[in-house]
Parts: sequence; C-alpha cells; structure tokens
Amino acid sequence: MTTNIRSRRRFLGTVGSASIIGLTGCLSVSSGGDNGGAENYPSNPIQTIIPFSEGGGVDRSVRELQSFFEESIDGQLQLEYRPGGGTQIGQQAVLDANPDCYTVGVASMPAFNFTMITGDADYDLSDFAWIGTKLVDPGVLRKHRDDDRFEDITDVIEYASENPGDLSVSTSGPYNQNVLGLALLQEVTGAEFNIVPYDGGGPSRNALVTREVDLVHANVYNSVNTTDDTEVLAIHAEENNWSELTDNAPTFSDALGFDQEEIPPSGPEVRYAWYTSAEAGDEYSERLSILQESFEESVTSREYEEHLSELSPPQEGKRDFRPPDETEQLAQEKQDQMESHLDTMETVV
Amino acid sequence: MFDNLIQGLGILLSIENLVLISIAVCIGIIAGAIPGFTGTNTVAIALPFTLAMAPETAIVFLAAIYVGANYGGAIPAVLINTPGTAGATATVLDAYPMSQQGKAGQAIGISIAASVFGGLISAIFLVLLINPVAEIAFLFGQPEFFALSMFGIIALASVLGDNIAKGLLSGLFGLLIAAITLDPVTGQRRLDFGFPELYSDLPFIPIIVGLFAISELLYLIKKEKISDKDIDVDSYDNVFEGVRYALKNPFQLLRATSIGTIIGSVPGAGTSVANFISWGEAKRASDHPEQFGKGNPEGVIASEASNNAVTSSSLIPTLVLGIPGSGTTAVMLAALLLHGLQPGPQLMEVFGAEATAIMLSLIAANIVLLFFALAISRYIVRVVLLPTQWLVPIILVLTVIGVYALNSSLFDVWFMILFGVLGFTMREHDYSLIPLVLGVILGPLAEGAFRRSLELSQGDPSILFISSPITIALWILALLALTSKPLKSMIQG
Repeated sequence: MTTNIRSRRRFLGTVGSASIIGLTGCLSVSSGGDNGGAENYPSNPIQTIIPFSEGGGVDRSVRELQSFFEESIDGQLQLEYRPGGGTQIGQQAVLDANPDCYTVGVASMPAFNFTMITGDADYDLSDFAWIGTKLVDPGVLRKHRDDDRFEDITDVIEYASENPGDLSVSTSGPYNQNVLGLALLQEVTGAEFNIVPYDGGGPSRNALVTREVDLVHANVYNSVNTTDDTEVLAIHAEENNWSELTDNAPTFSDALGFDQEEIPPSGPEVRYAWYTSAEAGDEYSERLSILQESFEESVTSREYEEHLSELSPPQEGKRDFRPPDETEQLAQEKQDQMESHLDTMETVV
Repeated sequence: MFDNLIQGLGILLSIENLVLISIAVCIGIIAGAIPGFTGTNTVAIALPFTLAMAPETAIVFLAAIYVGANYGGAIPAVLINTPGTAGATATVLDAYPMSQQGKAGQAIGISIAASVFGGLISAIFLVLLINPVAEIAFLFGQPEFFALSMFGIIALASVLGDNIAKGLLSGLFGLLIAAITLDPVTGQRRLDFGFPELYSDLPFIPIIVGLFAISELLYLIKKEKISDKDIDVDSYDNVFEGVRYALKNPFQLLRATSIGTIIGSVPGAGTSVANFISWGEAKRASDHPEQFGKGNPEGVIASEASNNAVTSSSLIPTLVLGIPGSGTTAVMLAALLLHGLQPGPQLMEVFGAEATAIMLSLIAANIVLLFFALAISRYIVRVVLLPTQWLVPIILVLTVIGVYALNSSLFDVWFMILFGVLGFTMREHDYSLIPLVLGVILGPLAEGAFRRSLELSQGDPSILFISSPITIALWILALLALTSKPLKSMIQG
C-alpha cells in the first residue's frame, strides 16, 4: 500500500511540475478546445477551484483525494485558490469558466449557502451541477479538560440556564453552522450563552485552549488537534460513530432528552461537495458523468480509505460519499435550514 | 532533546536534503523578488512537488523556500521602492533612499547580513527553546492583541515625520479602508460597494504594491535612472561594506531579531506587523530619528532582521499548537498534515527527530542564503543603473503578473492601480504612506480584538487595559512612545 501511495505521489510530483510551469508563467489555463463530448476527456488539466486560502481544511481535503481522483479519471487536477467573499469569489469563478467540465469547484456547506442567503450572490442552487459529496464533519461542543465545573453537557445546560450569558462560547464566525448549533440549543433548552464569533476556526479553538472562553462550538475533525487540551461534551449526530475522536461523548438529543428533529444534526455539520456549472453539465453531460463516476470511484476506493486511516489521528470516519442527486438534495436542505434560521442566528450574535 | 538533536542532524545532513535546501532557497529568493508574489503562494505552488518526498524532507524543502522568499522581498524594496513581500514593506523606507543616494550595494549588503542574522538567531532560539516559547502564544488573548496593535500604531505615529496631524490622518484613513469588509462580530456588510472581492478580506498585497511600486513608477518616468550617482557595480566592496556595517551594530540586530521572534511566535501577527514595529522601535531609540525614512541604514537592519526572525519563530505555534503563525506557515501546516505529521503538543514526543530536522533546516537555509545572496548581489545592484524607459515597463509587467497571480483576479490589478494613484497623490501632498499601510494591516486585528474583548467582558472596558501584565506593559510602552519625543524636546529646552 505504501508503495502504491509513493508511486502515486511520484506521479503527482510530475503533475505538480507541469502545474508549476503553467503557474509561474502565470497563464490562465484555457480549458476546452475539445468539442467531442466524452472522447479523450480529460485531455487538459481540470481546474479545481478552492474558495479558500492555501493550507485550510478544504485545501487539505482536496489534496488528500487528488492523487486518487487523478488515477480514476486518468487526468490531472490543477488547484487554484480563489478566496474571499465568504467563498463567493471561488463559486463565481467556476460558474464564469468555459462551460466544458474542465473547471470544477468545492462547496463547503453551509458557507456555500450563505453566499446566496446573506452575500447577494448572482447565482442560485439551480446554477450548479453536482459531482458528489465527499466529507461530513459533525458539530461538537468542547470544554477545557482542566475545567472541573462541569461533568457533562447537562451540567453545562443547567448552569447556562441559571446564569444567562455567563458562559462564553467561541465560534469560527458570525454566521455559520456553529452559531446555528448554539442558537438551536438555546431555543430548545432555554440555556443562554455569550456567543463570541472569532476570525476563523483556528482562533476560535485556540480561545478555548488558552481558556479565554469557557466552551467552543466546532466540528469533530477541524478541532481534532485540540484533543490534548479539550474534551467533547456532546455531538450533533443521530448516533456517535466518531466516539474515539470525541471522548465517547453522547449525542445532544440523547443527553438532553429532546427529539432529533428539534436540532437536526445536519444543521451544525460541515459538508464538502464537488460541482461544476449547470451549463457545463447540460452542454457536456457525458463529461459530467465521467466526473461523477471517477469521483465516486476515488472517494469510495479502499486505497483512499486506507490513506485516511494512515493519517494521524486516523480520519477515515469523515468520508461520507453521497451521489449527485443526494448532494443536490443536501444542498437544498442546507439552504432551507439556514434561511429559516437566519433570524435565530441574528438574535444570538 | 539531545537525542532529537542528534537524530535531527542525521536526517538533515544527507546530500539529498542539503541539495534540496540550496535549490529551495534559490527558488524562494527569485519568487520573493517578484513584487506581489508572496512566500505563501510560492510555498503553495511547490507543495505538489513535495508529496513525492519523505515528510521531513518535504517540510525542510518548504521551510527553505520560505526563508529564501522572505529575503527575496528585500531586493525590489532596495532597488525599486517595491516590497517583494509584505514583510519587506518597512525595508522600503530607508533602503530605497539609500539606492537613490548611490548606496544600493551597501543597502543590499545590510539586508543580507540582517536577514541572515535574524533568521539564524531565531532558528537557533527555536531549536533550543521551542516548548517554553510556545507558552508565549498562550498568553495572547483578545485584550493583548488589541493592546499590541494599538502599541504598534501609536509607536509608529509618534516617530514618523514632522507633521503629526498628517501622519494621524493617514493612519485614520488606513483604519477606514480596513473597515470596508464585514463587521467581524455581527457579520454585517459595510463598505464593499457590492464588490464580492471586498466582502470579507481586503486584497492587501495589491494595496501595498500599488501604494509603493505604482506610485514610484509615476516618479521614475520623469527620471533617466533610479540613481544619478556613480555606483561601482564591478566589485563586491559596497556589498561587504554593508555587511560590515550591519555586523558592527549587534545591539540593533539583536533588538530587531527579538521583536521578530516574539511577534512571530504569536499566531496571527506575522511579518507585516513585525517589520513595522521593529522599524518604529529603532527610530524611537535612535540618536538620529530624523534620518529614518531618508536612507538610514539602521532602518534596513530593523526591518530585515525582524522579518526573517519571524520565518523561524512563526513555526513555533505551527508545530507546537497546530496554529499557523502566518499565511506561509498555514500552507506548511497543510503539508505536515498531508504527510501524516499531526502538529500539536505531542509533536515533539511522537515526531521529535523530524521536528528537530525541520528546525535545523532553517539554520542550514540561512547559511545557504548568506552565500547565494552575496554571490548574486553584485549583479542585482545594476538594476538601479538601468534606463527607466526599460525599467518602468518591466516593473509594471512584473507587478501586474505578481498581483494577478495571487488570485487570478483582474480586480486585484485594478485595485493596485487605484492605490498607485492614491499613493502618488498622498506623496505629492506630503502624507506619509506608512501610517495608512499600518492602519490597513492592524485595523482588522485591532477591531476584532476590541469587539471580542468587550463581548467577553460583557461590556466592561477595563478588560482592554488591565486584564493581564502583558496588556499593562504594552499600554505603558505605548504611553512612553507617545510622550518620549515631547519630553525629550522639553528636557533639551
């Protein structure tokens, strides 16, 4: 297996060389050129637009899959970063590209949805053709391990109900899945937190490590590097399939005795899904099919799973493949969910 | 620790690694020298190469690029009034006037010596004291960030120029520009005029390149070449004179290195803050503050030693806490994770030898930097003698390419030109550009920290001033910075 990964990495190195030559020449890769539908597709590198800066969670997730996807599709991915506008810049870049399936993008939901809800984006969900969903990262509430005031989540809720606003909770920004998770938790339990939005996930988690705040609302995998200092109190999930990474914490609904539907676990979770423009999908439906099939093959491959399990800590549990039709449904559900709770989120930040 | 050191040296001292470090430093210098082409995107572009390498080799390679790029930023700062990277912005202030005075060789020599000194000392510090220094990062919360940014602005405003009112106006304008983006706490849109590019983050590099490079081009058009003075470009004498000058000022080197090391170890601050604070401190402490900004070599030492010290120390929070200390270390963090090294408190226990090899590679990279930078120095100073009819279009093309390559965005190019015109207008009317730049850099940090501090204290403003010994010390320093100049004048009668 290691040898396979190595050889793929070597291959990737060669691909990287080609990409660098292109990038240092600062040539925007012109895609298309081949109007024959699926024949020889892909004959050019597939521009993969990441709507965040280098080094973030989405970048990492794309790079983790890159060599497997390239092997499945027998082509190359060329990564391009278009941060800004709360992912709107990157999304728009995919929609503005030649509609030939040589440009794909990664939607980080719900940031993706907020560009349409609060960001005045010039597009809506019908402008996207989905390739598939790759990853899920459920929401969690963490406390510092040295904080002995609370044994479990019920203690926290009890304290926050009796002392409204006394417990500070950091989130990665003013409008996102973490704020939604907390807003719904307040609505359902009557607890009241002092929600403090930070400038990104790293600073919000660091605020708990340094004990500037009492709690952080984050996600399982994006907060995994704080496990030495912090512990999970509860997880937003139907059942906790991530117990090893989450201190065997209970689900919110089990611990607090409410109905799953009152705080749907899909609200506070993050999902990464790949897409191209609907126009490209309509014009080159066979190319879209090749993208979709190769994506499914690579995400569901045993090699990719093994690669994720070799990471430290093992991360195979974040893989959650969903086909295009289910991804479309998920995107719509997420959109409806965020729209309907916008007022609730506004009241808490 | 000793075992890790021996094993780390064993990993580093392979022919493969040493050759890779040399190549990486050269790539970094070249990329850093292109205005707008940051260390961050150079390291990101190189990342795919490293997937074929062993994890420790990969990080060593990327770290060496980072070191090279950070120095490379000084080359256009010295020669064409354009910081190649954001960390070299304060270098421009004294290095370019030196070039105009025919001292480009000396300025290059000083920048090499200061960069290598800052990077080397900070890297040795990193190897010896990574764990205790990481604790510093834990001491910085929101009130400390607010006090740090206020200290930065006050310290610089109090030492800049003769006309304090114009300096303050320029700084306030910078803060206003910083307020274009989303409200950091409520998420409300503010002054983006419907441009999605201005929605959440300002395109900072186009602002810097526009203010300095494009505005300078408008001046250069009127001249035949950058320097009218005779320059001896056929020998290394001037460069070595610069190196000797820097080494004769060990206290200044150490002060700048210490500032860079401390600021780099705090996540979120980075090179662009360190070089300004260091430059401001150097000017405040100097016997000839009036010469700063007019070609004082001490200013070049302050900026260059501090920004290269940041390259090493920003790895501290990256390795020990898993929190990147700068944009470039964010990419290196991704590389670590892709190679299966989980940064965090357990890194030194589980991957002690690999982590030590990474830190030792910074020392090696700085030594390589010294030789390579000196070797090419004689040739690069010739730039100042090029006729402007060639130089201006070349710089324009390079800046447009560099700024466009950041995000493949034409908006950034237009934004750069807009700030070029603004920079020219301000310079024509004797408004210093530096407070404006500092306002833009520190605005989001200061505002976010201010608002979050008040959220945390539920409206009690005392949290901003007396929440910890660090905030108290920073405010006292700010007060001293503000009052030292008038007090000195009073005492001197």
